Amino acid sequence: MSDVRARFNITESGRGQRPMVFAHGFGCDQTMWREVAPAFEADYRVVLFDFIGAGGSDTSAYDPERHASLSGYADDVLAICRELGLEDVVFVGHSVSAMIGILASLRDPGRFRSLVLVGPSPCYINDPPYVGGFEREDIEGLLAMMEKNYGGWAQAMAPVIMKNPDRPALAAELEELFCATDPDIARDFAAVTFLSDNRDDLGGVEVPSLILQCTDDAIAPDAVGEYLRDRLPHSTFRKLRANGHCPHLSHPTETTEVIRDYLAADRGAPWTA
Amino acid sequence: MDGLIDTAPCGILLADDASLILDANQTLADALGYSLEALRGKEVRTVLARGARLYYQTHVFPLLRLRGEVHEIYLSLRTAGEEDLPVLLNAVRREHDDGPITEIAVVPIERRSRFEDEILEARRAAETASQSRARFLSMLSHDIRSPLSAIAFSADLLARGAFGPVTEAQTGELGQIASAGRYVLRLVSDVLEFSRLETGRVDVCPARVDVAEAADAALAMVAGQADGAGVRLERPDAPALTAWADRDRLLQILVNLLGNAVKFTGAGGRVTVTWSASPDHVAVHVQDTGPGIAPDRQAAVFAPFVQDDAAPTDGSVGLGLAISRELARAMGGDLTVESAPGEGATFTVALPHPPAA
Repeated sequence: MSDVRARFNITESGRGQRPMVFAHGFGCDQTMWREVAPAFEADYRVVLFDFIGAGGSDTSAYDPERHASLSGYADDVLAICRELGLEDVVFVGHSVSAMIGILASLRDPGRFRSLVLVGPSPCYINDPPYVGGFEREDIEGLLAMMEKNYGGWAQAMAPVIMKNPDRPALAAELEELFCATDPDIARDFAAVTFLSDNRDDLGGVEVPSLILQCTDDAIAPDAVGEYLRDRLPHSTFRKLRANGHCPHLSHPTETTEVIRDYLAADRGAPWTA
Repeated sequence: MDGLIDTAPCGILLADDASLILDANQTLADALGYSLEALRGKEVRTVLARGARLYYQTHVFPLLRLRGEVHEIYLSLRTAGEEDLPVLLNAVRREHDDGPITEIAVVPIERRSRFEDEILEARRAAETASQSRARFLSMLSHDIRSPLSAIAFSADLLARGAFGPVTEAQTGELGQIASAGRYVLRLVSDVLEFSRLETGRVDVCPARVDVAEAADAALAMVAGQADGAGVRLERPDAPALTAWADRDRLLQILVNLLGNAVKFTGAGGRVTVTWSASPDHVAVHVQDTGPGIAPDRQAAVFAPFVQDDAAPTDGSVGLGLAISRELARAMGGDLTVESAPGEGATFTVALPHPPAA
């Protein structure tokens, strides 16, 4: 198994002590955080990474069995924390990674100081009276669209960079191809992401969290954010003016400020070891 | 929009950063079944199929933000009549006086999209067929070879009187059973060997091989067949030559080529083995005086499961040349043919020179 830094294409920066780990959502990679993460470098040890199959990760580390559920991805987050020696972590997860962070915190609550959940959803599929926003056939529509799109340009380009994670000459190309993903893994990840149901996991969460709910988010609608607010212990709910599903891209200033305010008010985790 | 743009043969849409539709051309409005007034002020997602909303948010939007443009994205739009309209989409996000605007162009691709679906379906079917074939071949190996061997072996034992006296007529029939059994066994072995070659599961162990020695060994193995067919085998004296090959595999290729040559040449004909060397490779030639192969058939003789309609039918499944070519290629060489109708054929096995010591 490759070194954890190469495996997850880890980028570290910042001058602070406390680690702040940023986890990207489905469909992209760590470049998603480029407008937000630098704002925390003065006060935190900023850790960015790509999940297996995304960006510059080592696709050979993909395990179809382990990665067939979000808890496999949560294991990856914990492996990163463990191997980099990260303690008292502020975890920032977008979209599906919000849920991955919640699962990681259930596994090892002492590892995390707080969770920042950007556009989270515990379940994307409607299950009346629960409103997730989507039906199963919508997800199948997404998978069909991915298959057709990856059949073209992405499939032609992605393998080139994926299979040479340790060739620095490719770094420039990598910059060009951000959000490139391995087509087969992306398809699995889409299914795992959108067909997971983690509603029953919420009640056991001990780590304090900030829920960032966007305006008019097609992927995580208001009803989902409010569901989380009502069921996630120790959570703080903030509705952003930012609309859409990627406030860290579309409204980085507001996103950064809201996260900073929350962290400034943080008096530490309520649990005692 | 007006003039040329309104009637352009592609849909055009302008959206602001809040994903609100600012404007569209008439072509798009018509394709979607909305009036232009109804389209303006709608959110982009309302004209996307539901799966496409997810795709747009997770793939298209981030790329537009990070790179400023996307190309050749396949998406499905949703018309006012709730129909899906597959399109190819290009988009650019540009700064304007009133803030950034995303310009989107779409081309409907309904027929192409159906073709693509058929291609994807065909690929899945081919993958399934390939797996079924592998299972079938493995079944052949276990379920057919073993009982066939038992049939041939038992018939031999009976014919030799191992279980009591047999009449002359019975011995003849038992011999037929045994030889038919062995014949089918060889066919099954050919099919298995070819499938192993095709999937790259055959190991070759190249070493220095004396070409004359291999040629003589092959000639000895087909001598009986040539005698029976009234074909003369010739091997002119030639300087010694060493190739880099797996000797057993080279022998297998040469026996196959010589056997074919004898079969197709007919009584009174001649089959000659020679060899030569070029800077690139060592070549062994098997030349016959048979009817030759028409130019448009020369590629087909190497295709698996193909047999010349004009050839004498021996019931073989036609894998010999396909196997021989794959074997030659596995050794870093090749197998080719030159022929003119009526003037016989020359098959050439090219092999690498031995590496410098």
